[in-house]
Amino acid sequence: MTYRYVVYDLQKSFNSTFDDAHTTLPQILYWVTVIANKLMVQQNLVTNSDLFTSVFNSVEVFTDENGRSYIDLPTQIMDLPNNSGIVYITYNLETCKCEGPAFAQKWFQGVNLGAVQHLYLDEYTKPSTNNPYFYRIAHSIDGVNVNRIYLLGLECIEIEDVEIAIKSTIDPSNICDLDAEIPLPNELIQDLMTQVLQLGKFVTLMPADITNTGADERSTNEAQYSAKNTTLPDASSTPTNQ
Amino acid sequence: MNSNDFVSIEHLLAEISSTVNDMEFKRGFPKGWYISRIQDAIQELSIDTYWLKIQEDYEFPKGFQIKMPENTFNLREIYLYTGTICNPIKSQVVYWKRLFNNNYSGDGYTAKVKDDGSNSADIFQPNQSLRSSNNHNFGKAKYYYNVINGVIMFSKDCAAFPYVRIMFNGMGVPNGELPIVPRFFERAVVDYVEEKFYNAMKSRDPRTYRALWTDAYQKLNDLVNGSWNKARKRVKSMDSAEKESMEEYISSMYHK
Repeated sequence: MTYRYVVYDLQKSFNSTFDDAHTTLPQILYWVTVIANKLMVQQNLVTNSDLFTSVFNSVEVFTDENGRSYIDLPTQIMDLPNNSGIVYITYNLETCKCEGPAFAQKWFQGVNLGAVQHLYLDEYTKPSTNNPYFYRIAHSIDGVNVNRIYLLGLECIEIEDVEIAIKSTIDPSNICDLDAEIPLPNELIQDLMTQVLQLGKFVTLMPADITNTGADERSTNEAQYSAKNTTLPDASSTPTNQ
Repeated sequence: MNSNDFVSIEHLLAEISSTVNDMEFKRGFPKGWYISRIQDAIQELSIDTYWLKIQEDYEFPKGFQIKMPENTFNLREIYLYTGTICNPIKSQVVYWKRLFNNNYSGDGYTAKVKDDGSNSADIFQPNQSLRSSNNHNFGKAKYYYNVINGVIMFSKDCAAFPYVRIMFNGMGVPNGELPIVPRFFERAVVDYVEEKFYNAMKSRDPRTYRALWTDAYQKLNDLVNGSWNKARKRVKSMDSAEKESMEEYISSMYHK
């Protein structure tokens, strides 16, 4: 199913229901991507299939100012438990095709940044070229926004690139073609449209609550309290003894 | 039982990771953690069963001392020999002597009973030299050793031989190398790693993993059908040929 079918269908529905809302096509397209991303993550948790997996054969390896190797994530990924949004990272070198693909022989294992020190406690988990790891830093480094995967165990070698497979989500800024396929199974299109309509309805109704009509809409109790406040005796006046 | 057949680490990991549902090694333990547990299992089985025998040959040390090599325990046999390492000619068994000590190397030593009986002034064990020299060729060369803190110390008469051969028991491979797993230990090793996995996961999610850990513990340690005990029995049982020979020997010893 293409974006064009879905977006125009949704626009028709919005225009017939909220004819003065002026819902634009880019706005609906954005809502579609927001809901589609949510449905993709939910669908992946249910099926754990590779429907949303993308493979990048050659992702350049950089070195930061501390000499640590890293790659920039080539696209948005699902934020799943235990870095499961990254299916694998492997050396971009087919060493022995008879034994199967490279990613089945040597792959980088995911680890949380805080657990890296623990790897060095055991001879068998210690990072090395034979036993490499990766960890993700996706917020900022020294105040600069990043979305990086750091590679551990490559301290003694230099590699130019790696192969990476990731479970990706949709980046709204990358949709340039309405005739592109929505990366969802067809059976989820109904859920997508229903949830976009709900989101649109919610967004359309929101402004009514924040419009200032000029009327006193305070609650009755509040109004009464305010009136009572003016009738209280002045505390500064001296009581008289009788 | 003797065997020269081994299973690969990958073979074990394939079964273990499937059983504990961690085929992608993303449940919190890296692949190396599993290999480390496999090594632990082999280490424990080695210490329990003495299955792994390691032979080392040395030139006889000038300091009369040899440090036990890494990854060994339990001295099994010590021989002195002439010839070459590849071709021993004359050999001599070396015996253990209680309380013998040349801990600072050299041929001088202390012992509760000296080999020449020189503590004859001892009022509690007097006249050993007189008593000894009259019996059993006591004045001849004596080949013995003792061990203190992993250092094997030899008597001075041992220096008459140029080489020494020592048989140890091993504790698997040195830490950091890929473990070697005999096939008849496969069940025990798999069950051991699974039990350790669930034991570790128990602290993360007790409600889910405690029941699984109990099952795994029972499967490993059951006294009748537990894989650990089965492995111990297997490795301690004799080869059929050994049994045959032993039966023939015992049955004939009183009837010749």
